[in-house]
Amino acid sequence: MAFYSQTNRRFKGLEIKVGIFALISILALVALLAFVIQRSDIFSPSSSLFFFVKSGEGIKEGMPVKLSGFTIGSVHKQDLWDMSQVESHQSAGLSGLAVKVTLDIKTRYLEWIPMDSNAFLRKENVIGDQIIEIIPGASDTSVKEASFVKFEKEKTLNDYFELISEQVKKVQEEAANTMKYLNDPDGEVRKAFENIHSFTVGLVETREKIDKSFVALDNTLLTVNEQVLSMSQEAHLAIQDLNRALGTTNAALPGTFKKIEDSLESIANVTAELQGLTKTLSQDLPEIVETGIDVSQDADSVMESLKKTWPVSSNIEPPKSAPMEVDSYGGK
Amino acid sequence: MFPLMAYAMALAVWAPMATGAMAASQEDEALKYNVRGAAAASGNNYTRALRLHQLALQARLAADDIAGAIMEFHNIAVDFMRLGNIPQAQSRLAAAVEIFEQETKMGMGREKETAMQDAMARITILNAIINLDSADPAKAEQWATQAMEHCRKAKCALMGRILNVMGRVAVAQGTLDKGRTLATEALVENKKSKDQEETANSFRLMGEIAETEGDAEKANEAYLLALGLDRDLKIGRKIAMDLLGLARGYRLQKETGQARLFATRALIVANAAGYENGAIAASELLQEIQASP
Repeated sequence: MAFYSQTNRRFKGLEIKVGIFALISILALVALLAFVIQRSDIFSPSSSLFFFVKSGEGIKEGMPVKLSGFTIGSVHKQDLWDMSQVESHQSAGLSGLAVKVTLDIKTRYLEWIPMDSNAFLRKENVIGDQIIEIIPGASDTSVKEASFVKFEKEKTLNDYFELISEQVKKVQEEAANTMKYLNDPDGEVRKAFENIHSFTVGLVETREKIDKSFVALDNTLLTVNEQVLSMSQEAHLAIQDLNRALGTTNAALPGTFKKIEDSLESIANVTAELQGLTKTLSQDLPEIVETGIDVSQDADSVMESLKKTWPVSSNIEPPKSAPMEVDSYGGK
Repeated sequence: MFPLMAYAMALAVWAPMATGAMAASQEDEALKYNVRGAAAASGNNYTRALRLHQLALQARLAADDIAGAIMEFHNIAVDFMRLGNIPQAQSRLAAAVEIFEQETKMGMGREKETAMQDAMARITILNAIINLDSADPAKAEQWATQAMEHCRKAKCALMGRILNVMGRVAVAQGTLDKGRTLATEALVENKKSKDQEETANSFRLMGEIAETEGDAEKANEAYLLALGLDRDLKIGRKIAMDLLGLARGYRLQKETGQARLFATRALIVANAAGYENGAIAASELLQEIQASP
């Protein structure tokens, strides 16, 4: 080295330069490593949650666990489990042998998972990998380390197909029944159609009859029209006769009116005389009536006295009230 | 003290007398209207008769004279019947029956009961006659049966009339044998009571029965007997009926000339007597004779 430094000036202080370079490289490497570690979250504290499923099919260790689309942990492990040892509220209706799935959740996310949250096994998208998704519940209390979460298997396409298949089967059965009902020769629908058919045929016949009737009516109207024309001519002649008669009457009327006028004049004179007489009478009438009443009352009194006087009284039969006689043919 | 006692005693004596006097006055009023009503009816002025009989009824009711009131109801019904208002006539008869039933429930003396039964015999037989002329012989029979009961209780003088009506009912119901028996019984009863009008009716009824049976000779014989009595009584309506019966009888015997003669006489008498139904029947018979002599 000394030789190189003596023969070429560029090699002078080479050792120091290499040392500085190595040190910077090491520092950069350490910084990069620290950055990567920090980014990978490897050393973040985590907590476990668990649930039970009948079958571990589709669930794999390391499978991501997501909350609202954000990865908060992964499937830690799966163990076979005897459900008789599990408390009933955690068994989710399972019995016998089941699979206990333990999730590894970053502890800092536990506070976002309420106690009544549900875990689902679902596909991230149509062709994506399967994940465990936690759907937060409504409870105010969050899960803690080693808490149980409910698991519900999300319906797969197969499930939907089966469901749809069942519905389609039902629809097919209903359709078959309906067709059978519609095709039944003794059924109401067939009979109704038969009736409609008969009715339609009847309508055609009725239409033909109506057409014939209209033709007959036309003929009748023609006849009536002819008769009316004939009558009109006769009436015209009769009106002419009447006009002639009225002409004669008109000629005779002035004389008749004259006579009527004379008669009316005579009547008017008589009426005038009567009015005068009535006026005189109306002045005298109240007095005459009053006098008449007095005379009548006096006459009654005299007659009553006379009736009671002997020998007149012996000749007067006292009046008797009697029913009106109606004989056996009385009503006729 | 003494004047006060004397006043009290006088009042005690006077009060019943005054009440009696008041009732007597009402009875006089009723009598007056009844007699005037009868006079108006005999002159065929039934409108006036009706008014007077209504006043008589008012007076009878004011005097609490129930038998008299029933009689006035009867008279009013007759007036309505003659005026052609049958529903009004029937309503008055129904009112009379109701009053009688109420009075019967309350009980009454023997003398009063006889008067009431007599009045009711008239009411019920008039009801029977109205129903018979309204072509309801079943109802007429019921009323006639009631009339007979009332008449028997009162020993009334209407038995012959009631039997005649029952005979007419039997003829209307088509039971001619029963009708003949009743007409014969009626004839005996009417002759016994010397009721000429009802005797003539019995003869006419016999004539109608014989005519219905087709025995024209017997029918004419009976009609002639009836006609003789009715002529004596000068009752135009009845004379027209008898003449009409004779016309039908002669027509039955194919004696067209005699039939036409009697029908014409019947028409003249019916018109003169104001007997419209008789005139119509006579005209129709004449037309029939003209059409098929």
